[in-house]
Amino acid sequence: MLRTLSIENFRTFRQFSMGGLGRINLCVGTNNCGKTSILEAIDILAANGRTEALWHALARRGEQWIDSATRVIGHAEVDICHLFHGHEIAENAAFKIRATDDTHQHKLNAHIIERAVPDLFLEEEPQLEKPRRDSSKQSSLFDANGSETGLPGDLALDLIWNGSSSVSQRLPITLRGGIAKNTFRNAWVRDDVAKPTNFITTEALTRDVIIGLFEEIVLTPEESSVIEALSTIEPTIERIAPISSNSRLLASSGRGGLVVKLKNSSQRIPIGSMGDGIWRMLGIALSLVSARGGILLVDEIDTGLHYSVMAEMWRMVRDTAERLDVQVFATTHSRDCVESLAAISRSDVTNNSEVSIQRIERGSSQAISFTERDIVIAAKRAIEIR
Amino acid sequence: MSVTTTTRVLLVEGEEDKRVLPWLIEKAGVPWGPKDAPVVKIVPYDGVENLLCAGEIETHLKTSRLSALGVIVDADEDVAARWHSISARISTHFTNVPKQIPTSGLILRRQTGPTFGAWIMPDNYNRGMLETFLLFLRPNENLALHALSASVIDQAKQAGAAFSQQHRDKAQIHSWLAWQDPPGAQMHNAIMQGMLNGASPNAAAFVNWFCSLYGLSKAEKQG
Repeated sequence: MLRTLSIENFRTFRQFSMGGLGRINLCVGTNNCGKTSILEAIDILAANGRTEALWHALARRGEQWIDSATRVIGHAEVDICHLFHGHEIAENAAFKIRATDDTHQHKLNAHIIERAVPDLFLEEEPQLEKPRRDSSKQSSLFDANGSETGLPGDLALDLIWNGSSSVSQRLPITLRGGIAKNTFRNAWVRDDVAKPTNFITTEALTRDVIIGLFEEIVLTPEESSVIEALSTIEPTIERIAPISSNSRLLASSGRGGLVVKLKNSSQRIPIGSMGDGIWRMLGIALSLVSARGGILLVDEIDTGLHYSVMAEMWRMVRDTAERLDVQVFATTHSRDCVESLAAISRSDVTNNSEVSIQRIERGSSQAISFTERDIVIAAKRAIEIR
Repeated sequence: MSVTTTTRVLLVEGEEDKRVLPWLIEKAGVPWGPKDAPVVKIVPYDGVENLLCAGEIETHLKTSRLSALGVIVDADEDVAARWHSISARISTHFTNVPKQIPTSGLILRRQTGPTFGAWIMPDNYNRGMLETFLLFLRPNENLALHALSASVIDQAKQAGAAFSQQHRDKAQIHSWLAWQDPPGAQMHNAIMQGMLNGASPNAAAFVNWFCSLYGLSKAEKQG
């Protein structure tokens, strides 16, 4: 379980740290203070060699080009400058993410290097002559509007993870400062070095993701805990089942493909017709289960949830996370979401708090950390934490 | 979304303090602001023990957008002991906590983060409480009545009155208030109506501390 996190030169943070982390951690703060960046930092660090985490961090925010000429997906690129503080990269630019758990320090050093020798990327596409940077352009290393999209430049992003094991990756950077999608796919890592990490964005999980997650747990003991989670919102839910062949149910909404059986009803009801709250709760519960032994990251966890179910949501998250040894990091803007954390906080706990709230203040290099005891006091005295 | 404003918070022992202090400050010439948006948000506790409980002051110090946190408590019988309890709460947040509370009241500033202030009634030096402080705000017009209020309390005690010796000042100010017109005003009403003088020089040190802590100043005569 991560206890501290520190970030250098990543996204909005030049220097940033937070401590007092527990099993459940809720990040609060004003818009644009960097809450989501913290989730991304943890995601990228925990990826431990799986470079897709970087792709997702950028693509999720639309920080990418899609080649308008070719429209070829394989040529899609993400603009990696946005990962660096100040949105600028140059040779030797670097960002660092560090965390400590109870036994280890985990580090990711990412830095821009000059590629000395032709690498895999070039060997795959030998027809491309490796272009040199135009030295007359002092202001930018990259040709942002260049038509030679996807052409490899002479820089690369070096990523070195150090923790219980050591993994490194080198991703070639294109002339306009991007990294091509296929590069991420090609970066290979053993499955057993990275802990499972799930990232839920503010957007609802797609049907395919939900069904995929559900199929992992169907007919396992965890199936009932997912049903239990949903019953906090809809107490009459008895069973859920995926339906892939019934086109009528599939087509009923973008959330088709899963049906529920309610008590005292013989009808199967598409889960998509039951509202955002059920879908969100299902996404959280399934993602928790599939992150067993790892990390769950949830951006704006309260999305779609009525304030009255917030405390129950936290109980479900706490119980499942404890049982399956998952560490949870979430963000919110909602007062109810913050105050309801008191429902799972113990008034006498300050050391090794299982629950923490971290307030991120723009321009500040350290999060304000609230222990379980602080959370209880804040709720009782109406202290504004956010 | 409203504009981001900083917050000033004051922790006090109880409801009585919460009623009295705004009038005291207002009468001293510092505008308190409208009822729903006072310049300082007062948080009353149910007793000093709860206020000084581990975590209370510390968590308040982490209030979002807090500019200053103040604490006003009674010395009761031992200023040093009360100060010890307060400094234990803040010693991890501030490096420059003095051994004794300054008689002008405590104000601790940091490079970043909110300012912290403490005042121990009546004057950060003597034993006593809010009521002790208020006894000094009585006008000087009828000193014989002040003396009488003191001696009558002693006589009442000798005659078996139930109040405890620690609450002597409380009994005295309420006796004195019973002899005003109208008789028996509550303390905050007494300040509001001018029976007790918020602008008294005896309140100046306290008002100065309060204004300095929260960055307030006396109302300027306008137009």
